[in-house]
Amino acid sequence: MLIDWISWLCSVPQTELLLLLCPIFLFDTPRYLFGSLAMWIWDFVQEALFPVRGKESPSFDYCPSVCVVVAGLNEADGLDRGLTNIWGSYPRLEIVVVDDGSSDGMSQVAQNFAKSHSGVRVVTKRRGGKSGAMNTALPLTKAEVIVIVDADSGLARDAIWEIVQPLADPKVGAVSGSVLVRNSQRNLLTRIQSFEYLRSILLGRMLSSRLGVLGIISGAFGAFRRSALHRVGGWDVGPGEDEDIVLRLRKVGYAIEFAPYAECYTDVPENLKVLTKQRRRWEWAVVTFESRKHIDMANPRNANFQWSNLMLFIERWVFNMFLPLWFWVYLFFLLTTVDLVYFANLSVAYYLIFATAETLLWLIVLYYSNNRTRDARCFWILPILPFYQLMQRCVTSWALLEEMLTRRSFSDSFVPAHVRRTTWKW
Amino acid sequence: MELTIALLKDRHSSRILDDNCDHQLKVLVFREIDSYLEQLRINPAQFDCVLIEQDLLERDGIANLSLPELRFPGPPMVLLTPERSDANAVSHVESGFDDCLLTSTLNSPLLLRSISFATTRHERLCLRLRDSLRAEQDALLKPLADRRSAARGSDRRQTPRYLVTRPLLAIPVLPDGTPDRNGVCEAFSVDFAIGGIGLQISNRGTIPSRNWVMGVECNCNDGHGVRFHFANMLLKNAFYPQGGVRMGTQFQPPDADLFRSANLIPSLQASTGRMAPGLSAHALEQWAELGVLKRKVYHRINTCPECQGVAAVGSGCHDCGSPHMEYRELIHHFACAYVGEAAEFERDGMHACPKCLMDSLVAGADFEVIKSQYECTDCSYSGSEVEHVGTCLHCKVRFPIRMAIEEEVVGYDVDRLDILALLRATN
Repeated sequence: MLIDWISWLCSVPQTELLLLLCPIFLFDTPRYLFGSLAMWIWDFVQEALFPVRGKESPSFDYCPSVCVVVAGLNEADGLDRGLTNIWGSYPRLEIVVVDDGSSDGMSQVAQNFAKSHSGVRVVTKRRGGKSGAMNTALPLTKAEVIVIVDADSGLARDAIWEIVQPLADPKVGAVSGSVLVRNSQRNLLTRIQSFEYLRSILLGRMLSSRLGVLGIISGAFGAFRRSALHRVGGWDVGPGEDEDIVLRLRKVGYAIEFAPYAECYTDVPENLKVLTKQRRRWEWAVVTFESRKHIDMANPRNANFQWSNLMLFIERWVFNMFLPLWFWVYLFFLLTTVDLVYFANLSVAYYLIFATAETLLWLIVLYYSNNRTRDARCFWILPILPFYQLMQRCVTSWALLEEMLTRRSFSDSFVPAHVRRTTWKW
Repeated sequence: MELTIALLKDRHSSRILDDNCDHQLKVLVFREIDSYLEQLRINPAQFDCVLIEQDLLERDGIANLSLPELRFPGPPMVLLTPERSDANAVSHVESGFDDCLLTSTLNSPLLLRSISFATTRHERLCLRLRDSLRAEQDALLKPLADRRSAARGSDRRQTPRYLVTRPLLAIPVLPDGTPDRNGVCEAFSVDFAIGGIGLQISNRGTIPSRNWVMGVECNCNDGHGVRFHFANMLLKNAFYPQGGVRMGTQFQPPDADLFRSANLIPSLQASTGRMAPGLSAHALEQWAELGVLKRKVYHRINTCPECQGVAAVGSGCHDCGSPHMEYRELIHHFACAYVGEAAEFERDGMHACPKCLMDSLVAGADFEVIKSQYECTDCSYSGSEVEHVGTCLHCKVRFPIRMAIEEEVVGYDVDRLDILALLRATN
């Protein structure tokens, strides 16, 4: 069989093969691969030339006052553990817990914690969405930096120290933390997501940050300059509020940085249904924000126009909108023009290329990782990743179409109905 | 002193007074009503009291003794009955007997006491009958003038009197509000009125105080049986018939009543800053020991750890305990998710969002008010968690409520004499 495939590969003319393999860019792997390789080569050379340079921050010189905002709905279960993890991890720290109308006693858990720990405040409000909950904390603090943390997430040691360091530069408006998977050992799906997070968040955001086109800060862990948030009026109504706030900060001229070693551990979906719903929400944001709400950022005649923003938009449009949909056109073209044997041989070729690319990415992840033992365990799921990407391509396409055609995000239960009724539908 | 008793006895009944006869009693036995009446016509005042057996009444078919020729003039009549029934006893008294005695429990002291009750009651009835006859005559002659003069009586009770004979417990009250334990005596009521009680105390020659607490034996129909109900009385007049004291008393006005609420129920005492009844603890304990008052825990309160004064408990700053907190009113605009101070949203008397500039916002539909944060004006602490703070009303010390001393606030309760209920029950 392998011989058959090799003989097929040899029989295909080189120009035809290149033409057929071009659509490889329809997937995420090559998107990260070449940039990550370039970044690795650069860093490798730099390290070779200047061996003193380390990967971790050599020292924590910048120590602004920080307010950690923990906003959530029905997060009573992991809240105490999360607050214990945060409290005392930074010297000038205050914590504001915003209970967004929970019915599971989240507020009571937070109150109990606040009784025994100084500098912790609890606000209970009627459910108004995550954006409103996070914004509630803003008038209550005078801290220079607002750090948002998901109630069910855990921070690594010195994570807050790490994430505030880029804010020493006054041009930086916000910093993205590195979100890693806490429940990676739960099942195959969580293991795959574990590597996916390493690849797309650790490597992807590191690369985007260096290129100046970082366009998202995860809601699970991020730091914002308070004055910058005040300038843009805080978060807008979601879903996708974490991406929206970054675009609005970029619009007013702030730079967005990534702190790769400010690590936050979060639990990822453990079944396909929840995962699909989560990913659909993520993909809706691309249509809502990059194609509708903030389309003016790509207009060169706009007063706030920046080339980096245009590059960011082009990257999003191409990789997150055009190529996922073009994939189906290409698939249709193949199925109608080539026979099944040819299609099968081409699929194997694709598979091998993707598996090799994922392996290279894995090696680069290990280079940048500060816990190589943990990340090395992802090796055995690399052969499965091309199939996972194919599945994600289906989800992405579904989400794009439903958002483009029906504005599905505005009827999602992520935002309560009374807020959905009053907000704008972009 | 020897009393002459007429005993109207059935021929077949057992010996009633033979075994229980006291040497103070001279008993003349009659086996027929007619013979007794014959004897009475000869000398109406020869008997101090008449004892009639119920069997004799039933035998002779005499069901009602209210005939004037049988009752007036004549001595008081006591019925000797074998039935242990309160209802029957009451019906017998209503039918004309002055008292009713159970033959099975008959003994000398009880008989003497009953004769004493019956005599007093009978005298009062005769007096009342005479007064009413006289009043009828006077009303016919000089109605208007006499009514005016009767209304001028200063100390006399103006309300109707009811001849009810009840056992009483009479306790003199000393000037400091404590009971005179040596002066406690048994008595019986002569009459009751809305304004007071007439009573007679046997075997007492002096009156130690004008201020008395009277306990009247009442059946309350509340499951607790017969017990004393108390009232604070003021002595209005007294005279001394043979072998005792006859007293006319008046209920104390509410503001002078020894057992008024202010004296029994704890309230804040400004001088000490503590919760206590108005009457001294010593006096209250003595009354409680006598069984007049009952101790009762009214509250459990938090008191000052310094002086045990009553603490006013309220919310205070979580940081410094100060009650000077200003609550911050935040507004959450739903459409743009902006949250800011309420003042930021005010524009020309309406609400407008400072972020998205949408105006004419409607509370509830467009925005919500969040009122969970306060700012301490003393220490600038801001938060939602308030501390329960106690402030001593006496020494003004402020302390976290967890440091307070919990104390029982004790008051006293009394079974008050309800004169109307008593009269209702009697009738």
